Amino acid sequence: MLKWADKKAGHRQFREDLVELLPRLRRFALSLTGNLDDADDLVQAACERALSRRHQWRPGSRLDSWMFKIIHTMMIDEARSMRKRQPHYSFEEERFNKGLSDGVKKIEARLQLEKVAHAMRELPDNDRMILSLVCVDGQSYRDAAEVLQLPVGTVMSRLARARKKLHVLLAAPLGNTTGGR
Amino acid sequence: MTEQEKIEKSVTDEMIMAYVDGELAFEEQEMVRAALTADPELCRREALFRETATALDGAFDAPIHEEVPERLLNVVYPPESKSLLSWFQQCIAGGSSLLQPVPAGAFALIILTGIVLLLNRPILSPQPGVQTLLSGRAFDHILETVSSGSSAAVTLGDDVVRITPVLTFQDGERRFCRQFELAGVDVDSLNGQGLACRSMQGGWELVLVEEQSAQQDASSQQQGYELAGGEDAVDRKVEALRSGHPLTPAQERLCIGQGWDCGT
Repeated sequence: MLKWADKKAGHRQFREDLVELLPRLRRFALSLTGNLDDADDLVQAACERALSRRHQWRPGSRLDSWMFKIIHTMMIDEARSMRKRQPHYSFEEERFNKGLSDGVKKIEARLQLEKVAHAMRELPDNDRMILSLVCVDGQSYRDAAEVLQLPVGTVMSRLARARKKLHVLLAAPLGNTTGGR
Repeated sequence: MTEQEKIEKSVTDEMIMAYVDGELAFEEQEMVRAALTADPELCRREALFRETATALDGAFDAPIHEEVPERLLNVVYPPESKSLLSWFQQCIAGGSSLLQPVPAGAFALIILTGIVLLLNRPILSPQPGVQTLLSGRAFDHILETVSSGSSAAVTLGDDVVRITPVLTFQDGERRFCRQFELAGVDVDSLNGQGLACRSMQGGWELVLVEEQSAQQDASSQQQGYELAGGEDAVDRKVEALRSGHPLTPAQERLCIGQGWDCGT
């Protein structure tokens, strides 16, 4: 058994690593939930679960994969418990346009982001999850497969289908989406 | 069907997508590249995957550019829910009947004492350990003042451990003893239960501590208390020591209110 001091050092490192991950987790959660408040609720719940189950995490393994797995599991649990909320996308222009300086570009970017967010909302949970892992967080197929606990081939076929659906939704005018479900 | 046509037919959507995402091995990548050059239909399919990747890339980057909200940081680094300061504040607020007659000068002294206590908090201790936690003034204060079922937290270094008295009784020597639960903020930091008895001179002495993992830190063996090895060892010890019924909540409140000068 680890001595108290070793445990403490491990816990401190765990927390530091978790804090470093928070911006990525928030971005991932935002792409799943569609608004920052719900995203933060999800990340908060995931962090609470991670801290309470810290003993299940193997030191040396990837904390990011473990956290994404926790969020994935929470989404499944939420869906099963029928407490699931519809993703509610809300755009706070100032927050979503960080880093954009030109006025016209800002407007174009905002419209595009709004469209993407609405399209994501129309997708089933599984599609949104796989798109968020690969296209938003930039994970490899192998890493996404690890999070979703699926074979890489399955991830590829699901991802390809999800992107085709997203493409159709993005091509539709805003407010006229027929749904990808 | 020409050889080229066969190749183009063999290029699946998954392959084109993997090509766009940079997930193909070099040979496959070259094969898809050649097929794309030769077939406009494949190019259209490629565009679909490229456009969706571009649309999502950066679309949700707002959290990357802003500070993490404090409420999330507080989950990872919980603020000390109850420090000596808050206990001191409770003493002033809850124990007003004791403090009301205290003149202003004495009140200032109490404030000063509170500050000194704060400066001596265990957080400054360079050698934290379970024995430090369970023999310190903060631990003593909890068993002295907190009713069964209520919790208070102590800090140990940068850890926060919640202590919840769960049972109060008297042993054969008429000492008051309290069974308590320990819960670290991180589950495996320190979890378990323990038993302490109040000496006739005042002050709570640890009798037994049982970590949930039931494995012991070697250093605890020399600290004058027993570290339980099996499950429910504390429960068994309670039954062995207990003389008569446990205190009722009303009796417990009375004893806490009278500084345990309450022979039941």
